[in-house]
Order: sequence, then C-alpha cells, then structure tokens
Amino acid sequence: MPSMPPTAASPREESTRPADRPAAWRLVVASLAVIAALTVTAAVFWEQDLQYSLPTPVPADWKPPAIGTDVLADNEVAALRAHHRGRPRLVHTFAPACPCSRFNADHVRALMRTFADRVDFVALVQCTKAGHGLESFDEQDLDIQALADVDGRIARALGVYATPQAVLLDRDGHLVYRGNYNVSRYCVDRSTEFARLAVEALLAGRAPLQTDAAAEVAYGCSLPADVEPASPR
Amino acid sequence: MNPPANPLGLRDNMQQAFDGIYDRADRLIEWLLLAHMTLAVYMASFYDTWFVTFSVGLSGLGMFLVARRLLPCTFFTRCTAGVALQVFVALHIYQLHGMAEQHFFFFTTWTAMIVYQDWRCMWPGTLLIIGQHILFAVLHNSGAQLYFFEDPYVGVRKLSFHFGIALFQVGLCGYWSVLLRRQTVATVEQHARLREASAAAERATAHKSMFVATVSHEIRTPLSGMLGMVDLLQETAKAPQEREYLDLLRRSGEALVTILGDVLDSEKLAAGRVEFVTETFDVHAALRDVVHLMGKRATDKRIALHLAIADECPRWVAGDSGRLRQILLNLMSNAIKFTASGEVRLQARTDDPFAEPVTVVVEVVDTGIGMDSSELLRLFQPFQQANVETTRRYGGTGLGLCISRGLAEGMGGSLTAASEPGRGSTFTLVLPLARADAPRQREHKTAGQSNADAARLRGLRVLVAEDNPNNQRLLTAMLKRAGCIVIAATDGRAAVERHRDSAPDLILMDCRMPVLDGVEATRAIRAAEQGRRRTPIVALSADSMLFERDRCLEAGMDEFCEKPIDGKGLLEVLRRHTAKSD
Repeated sequence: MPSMPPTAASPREESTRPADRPAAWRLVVASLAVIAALTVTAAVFWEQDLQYSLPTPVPADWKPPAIGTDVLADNEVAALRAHHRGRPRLVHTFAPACPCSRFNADHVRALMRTFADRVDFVALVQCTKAGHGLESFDEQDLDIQALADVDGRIARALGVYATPQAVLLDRDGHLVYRGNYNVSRYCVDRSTEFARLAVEALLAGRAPLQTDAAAEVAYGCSLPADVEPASPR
Repeated sequence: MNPPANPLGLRDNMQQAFDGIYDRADRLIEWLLLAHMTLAVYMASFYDTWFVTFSVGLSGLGMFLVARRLLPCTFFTRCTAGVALQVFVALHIYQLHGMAEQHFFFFTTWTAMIVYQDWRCMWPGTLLIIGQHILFAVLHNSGAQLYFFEDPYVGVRKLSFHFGIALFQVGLCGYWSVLLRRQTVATVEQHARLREASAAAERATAHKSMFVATVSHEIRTPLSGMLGMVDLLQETAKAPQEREYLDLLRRSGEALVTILGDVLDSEKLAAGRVEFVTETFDVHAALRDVVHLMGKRATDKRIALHLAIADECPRWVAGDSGRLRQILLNLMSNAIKFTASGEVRLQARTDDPFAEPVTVVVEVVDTGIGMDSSELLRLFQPFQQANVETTRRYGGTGLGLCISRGLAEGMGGSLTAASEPGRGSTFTLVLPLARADAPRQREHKTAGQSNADAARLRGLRVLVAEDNPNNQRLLTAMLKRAGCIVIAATDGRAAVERHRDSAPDLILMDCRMPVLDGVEATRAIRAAEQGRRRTPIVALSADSMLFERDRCLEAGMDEFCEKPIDGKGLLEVLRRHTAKSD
C-alpha cells in the first residue's frame, strides 16, 4: 500500500457533528444488505461456476470401458452405432443445464473447424425421456449431429460421468480417448487440449495418446444420478 | 497559545464541501453501476448467463442503492461503491468466458472511484478481490485439483505481478484522490479566508461610511448656522463692502456644502445606496435651468454659453430630474472652469425619436484646455483630476466626474469624454428615459396665491426642537420673520411635552438631540396622537445618509430636510405642510 499523506484523515475536515453520525439502525440494515448481497453473489458464483472448478465426484459404480474397446458393440450405444460412417468420431457430451457445456461450445466449434473434413462430430445431448434438452443444444448453434441421450445412458456406456467430456472413436468404433477437453475451466490452455491432441494423434496414425491423469479427472456437471435400470438387451 | 478550535468556521465549510463532493460521487457511481448492469444484460446473451447476470448484477446494484439511501455521503457507502463495482467486474469476467479483456474493468472502476477523493474507500473492494484470488491460488496449488486460473500452477512471480499491478493501480488512484482532496481543502480554506477578508472589508467600509456620516453631520450643523446667519445678515446689511464680504462668505459656505455633498454622494455610490426617483419632468426646461444657473459664472469669465436642443428631442420624460441636473451642473461647471476663452455648448438630441425608452444624448462641449489620452484615462477615477497641475491651479476634489458617471450608470446610461489638448473637450451623457405625457395643468403661482401663502404662515405655531443654540436662534429668527409663533424645545423629551401642552401646527425636529433623539420623540408624539389631529413633523438633519432618512420616515415624520436649509427652503416646507393640513 503506498504511503498516504495525513491530509485525508486530517481532523480539521472530519466533522464530529452528531448529525453526521448515522443512526445505528441504518448502519445495521445497510450492513445486512451488503452481507446479503455478497452472500447471494458468492452462492450464485459457487453454484454456477466455482463448484465446477473442482473435480466432479466419481460415481461409486463407475466402470469405464478400457481404451481400445469396441464400444459400439454395446447395446446402449445402438443410436451411436447406427450413425457410424466408418470415419473417426468425436463424441461431445452436452448437458443443457450445465454452465460448463455452454462455455465449452467455442472450443468444440474450434475443433470442428479444424477436423470436420476428417472426423465426424456427434453430440450426446442429455435429455429427459420426453426429449427435452435438444432445443437447448440447437441454441448453441453447433453444426453437429445431435443424439438424445436419455438419462445419460449412452454417455455412461462410454465411460463418461460428467459433462462436458470428449470421447474419440477410431474408424472401427474402438475407444481411443475419453476425458476432458482441457484442464482449464475455460479451455484456454493450449498445452492441455487433450481432445485436440488425441484427434491429431489418431489422424497422424500415431500410437494412442498416453492418457494424462489430468485428462481423466472430470470437471463439470455430473450426469443424472437416479438412472433407472437399463432395459434388458 | 493554541489556535482556535474552528478558525473561520472552517470545519463546517469543509464538511459542506465534502458532503457536496460525496453526494455528486454517489450519484455518479450509481449511474456507473446502472451502466454496468446494462452492459451485463447485453453480455448475458453471449453464453446465456441470464441467471447469474440478474442475481449477481442486482445484488451488486442493490447493495449500493440500499447503502446510498440509508447512509448517503458516508464512508460506508463509499466502501460499498468499491465493493459493488468489483462484483460487476467479476460478473463481466464470468459472463465472457473468463475473457482476459474483461479484467480491464478492474482498472476503470478504481479510476471512477477517484471521484470520491478518498483513498481509504478503495481498499475494502480491493482486499476482497485480492483475498479471493489468493485463496483460490492456494487451493489451485494445494493439490485440491481446483482449476480457477488458466495455468496449471500459479507461481509466486505470477501472483506478484498480478497483484502488484493491481495494487499499483489502486495506489495510483488513491494518491490521485489525495491530491484532489488536498486541492479541495486548499480551495475551501482559501474561500474561507476570502470570505473573512470580504467581511473585514465590508466592516471597514461600514466604519468609513459611519465616519463620513458623522463628520458630515458635525460639519453641516455649524455650517447650517453660519449660512442661515449670512442669509439674515444679507437682508440687513447696507454697506456695499459688507454685502460683498457676506456674499463671499456665503459662496465659501456653499462651496463647503458642495464638497460635503460630493463626499456623501461618492460614499453612497460606492455602497450602492443611491436611490433614484422617477418623476415626470421637462427635459428642455431642465437644460435651460442648468444654463441659467451657470450663466453668471460664464459671464464673469467672458465665456459664451449656448444651448441647442434638437427638435426631435422629447420634452416630457420620466426620470430623476434632480440627478440629471446634478450631472449637467457638474459638467458645465467643469467646462467653464477649464475654459479660459471661447464658448461652452450644451446640446441635446436623440438618435431614435421613436424608440421606447427614448435615448437622450446630452453633450457638453467646451473650447478649454483639453486633455491627452492618458489624462482621459484617469478622468473618471475618484480623487483624480487630469493632472497634478490641474488640481493645483483649478482646485476641486476630483470627485465630481466620478459621481456623475456613477449617477449616469445608476440611471442605466453612460458618461464618456473625448478631448484634445488645447482644443477642448466633449462630455457625452447618454440616458434612456421613458416617455411621459405632459402634465395637464402646471402650477403657476400667482401674486395672489403668494400673498395667501404668506397669510397662512402668519400666526402658525411651529415647535422647533433643536439642541444647537445657534441653529435654534437661526430657525427662530427665520420663522418669526415669516410671522410664525415659535415654541422652542432643546431636547426630544421637551419636544414631546411642548407638543402635548401647546398643540403646535407643525414641528421642526432635529434628529440628534440629547435625552430623547428626534426619532424617538416622533414615535412618542405619534403614539400620543392616537385618535387626535396629526401634527406634521419635518426632520431637520445634517446627516444625509439614506438610512437616516429611512429611519426618520419610518418613525412617522412627514418629510426629511437636509441641513443647511435656507430661509426660502424653510418657508417652502412650511407652506407645503400647512397647505396639506388645510
């Protein structure tokens, strides 16, 4: 703090007139208003932003398919399988209510600009049984084929438990990468753009990406917890 | 010795000045917060952050509005302003995906806070933001796998620069606030000193006015006696030499009266206390009177006097004829004084005869000694004549032109001069005057009426309340010669008693008397007259200051006459009031 001259607190300009002392109740009410406003601010920021700066809790029964697994063989991903065109696919998981999904859209758009001619992009949109959720995805203006993922079943079959996450499949439907787009909450750290690095490695025919521990610690919104038992295959 | 606790009322002035600054700043910050809110609503559409925008934005705005309404112009509200602005900075950063440019709002908000001129109120908001960042940096680096910052690890160097620059910004803004505050304090102190100096000057002026009034009174009182006695002697003196001496004595006395009048007029003009009356008068007649009055002096110096009034110059106007005469007599007197040979012309015209009010231009043109440009510059300054030689050779106080210009300007006009050394001078008086209709019938006093006036004064019972024995004797002599019966009183109380016992027809009341002064005596007489005949009371005072006149008239006197008053003037006053009471 820079040293301040005494002028600002000079007694000659500080009045001690009783009229200048605010009534105690005014001070109390104003203080409560400030505290309430700051509390609301902190709570909203926590609810909408800061909680997603911490790793998303891993579900107790989480059993992700291993890298290299033919994930399209799973009946849960039948919808995904039906649209498979024999090209690498990047599956983008999206939850309409998740702020992180909205902030992540720019990064996905950037990946599409780079790889759309060689990679198919598919969005798994978390929906209710009635299909609510797809309209929110349309508002993102992402030119991707969107699949309704009721209660996150497809995402779970792919080993995803939070949005936003990226899942990369090779042309045969084998799992190449599953994890974060980036460690930074706003996807601005280029050195940790895990999804981009995985796509580049796949297209270059390099060995599958060495999974980074930070890539697997998901940040974002949990998938719905109360999932009805999957229908029998 | 300790200085006074609150010299010059400085604390109150300071408080008032800073209350004004805080109020203005509160208003400005309110507008700034509203602007941020508007911007936030606009930016909410980028990533659909509507919920955060309205909940956080309204919280930031609300906290300041509540503080401002409940505790306006207080330190609490100033601090709240800083905190509320930081809430909006955080909101904007969040709204645009952590865009680095949104951090610039941090700098604009603290720059705006300078308006409070209080460095202290910047710190609660700053410490809140810095504390939050440090907390998150610690969590970020602690292994809690919290990703708040862009970088995987927030090092000491990054933190140092991040907060260093922020602190530098807040420090700079704070220092600028201190400079502004110092400037405000100095300005308030200077204004207080100026007010004090102004009050002291006003007190000094009031003392000077009082001094002038008192001295004037003290001189006028004996002068009044002297001139009155000269009047009486002139009527009885037979020998030509005696009459010449008396004439010289009279002129000397009148010169003294003129000087006193000039000093008093100058004083009134300086204090802005000159009053102008508006009456219908004949401009042509006023100009002729002036020429007539100056005729003897011009004849003595063998100077020709000319009067030229343009046909289109209006005759009947509304204005102060007395002041117009005073100005013209002064100009004509100067013209004759500074003209050794040749002529003096008084000419009047109007440039636009159809204008309303009509502008009358009166010029006094002489063929006198003239002046150069430097002398002209000094001409209208008080106590200044063209040069020292002029003063030595021609005499005079040097007040006349200054007063004339003051009177002209007081009537909404102007007085200017043009001159050439050796060729003479031209003084131009420009006066806007309202047109007036000619009075239907002018009073022409016939010989018969004069006789009737004289008859009415005979046997008139006049109470003369005057403490100065010389003036008492003078007034008594003048009244007795007019046939009046004089009842004398030498102080105010005696005047009240004589009024009660003798029921005079008219009272001449000196204003300054022992025991009870003229004003108090008048009040007592008016109180005693309740329901009875009202006796006219005429104030006789050597004090011609305006407030003295007002005091007398407010007390119930009917007329105010300045001393010295000559025999004719006195009889005119008597006639006026006896005519009224008929």
